[in-house]
Amino acid sequence: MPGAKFLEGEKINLRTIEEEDLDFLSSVNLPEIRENIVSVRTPQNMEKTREFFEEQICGEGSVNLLICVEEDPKGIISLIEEGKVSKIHRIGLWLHPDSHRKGYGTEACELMIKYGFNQLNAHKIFYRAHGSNKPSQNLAEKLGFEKEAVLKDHVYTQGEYKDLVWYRLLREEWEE
Amino acid sequence: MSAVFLQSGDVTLRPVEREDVEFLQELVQHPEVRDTIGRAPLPVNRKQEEEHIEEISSDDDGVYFLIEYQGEKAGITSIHGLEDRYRKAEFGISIHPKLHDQGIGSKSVKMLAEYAFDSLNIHKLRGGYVEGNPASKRIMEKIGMKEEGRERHYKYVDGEWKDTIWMSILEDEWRSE
Repeated sequence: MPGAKFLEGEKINLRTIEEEDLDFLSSVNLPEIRENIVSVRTPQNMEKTREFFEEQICGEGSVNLLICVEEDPKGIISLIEEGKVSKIHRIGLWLHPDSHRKGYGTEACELMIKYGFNQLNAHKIFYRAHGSNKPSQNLAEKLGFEKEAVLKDHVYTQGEYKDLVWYRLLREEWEE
Repeated sequence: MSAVFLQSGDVTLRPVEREDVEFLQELVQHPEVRDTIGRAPLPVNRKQEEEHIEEISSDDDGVYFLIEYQGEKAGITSIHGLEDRYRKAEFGISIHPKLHDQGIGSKSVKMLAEYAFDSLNIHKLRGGYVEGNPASKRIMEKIGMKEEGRERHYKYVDGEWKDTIWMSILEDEWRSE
């Protein structure tokens, strides 16, 4: 049974992530996904995936939703509180490789950003992309993020050092 | 499923059970509901709602009822503050938007108030509604609640701060109603 619909877009909707989605969450092991996210390097077995579910998804301090077309999961998106006092959140997402280049990521981010500013009263939302990941940087730019910093040789992946590019969106920039 | 606790026509109140988790999960994050309740407008998955049901089952300070309308799950209502020394309590209610405008809220709150004053011996019952929610206001006025004050900037909804208006009724006002 799919999770409850939380935010609704045109092509996709964002639903709560349920225990039944653990198999899908395990897609994070796919090279196309894990090589482009900062936090995962080692194999994530079901026990680790369950830990992620219980600690991050069911825990406090972040909003995590399943990106779905109708009821089919395509990816996950998170808005993570990085500074309670400063009201700063980090947005991050991954899509299953079969669902790239369909505009799902853009729409999911638009919904989550609107929710972050309008319901959670965020002041600033930031986003990180690997220097080698052009689609990810294009996504940030398309969403109106400003490039804030380039951290030189900050991530080692696929046999080489890569830059980490930080993007930011302030509330007033988003409102324009 | 547990037995009926309170009944008024086709509206019944019964204890909340673990089996209600899917209904409650859908209810509390329905876009029209999550913007009107005190709880934060965050997504809630089944596991989190199950934990919530466990917490309320062991909460001595509050009572919680599942509202049914003609045998269908319709909403939730609760009273908090039962451990307060002065016996001042606060109630809350949410009806699923698909069942709005059937008088379910009014009947439920009337039963709840009667129970709070007659069985729990409270001195005062308080309730609040986020501005721009005339249905809640009407329900509270119907049982004789008076406006007590406005709490400014109570909740952040759709890019702006909303006030909450607090209403209340005292035990002697309830008895003379």
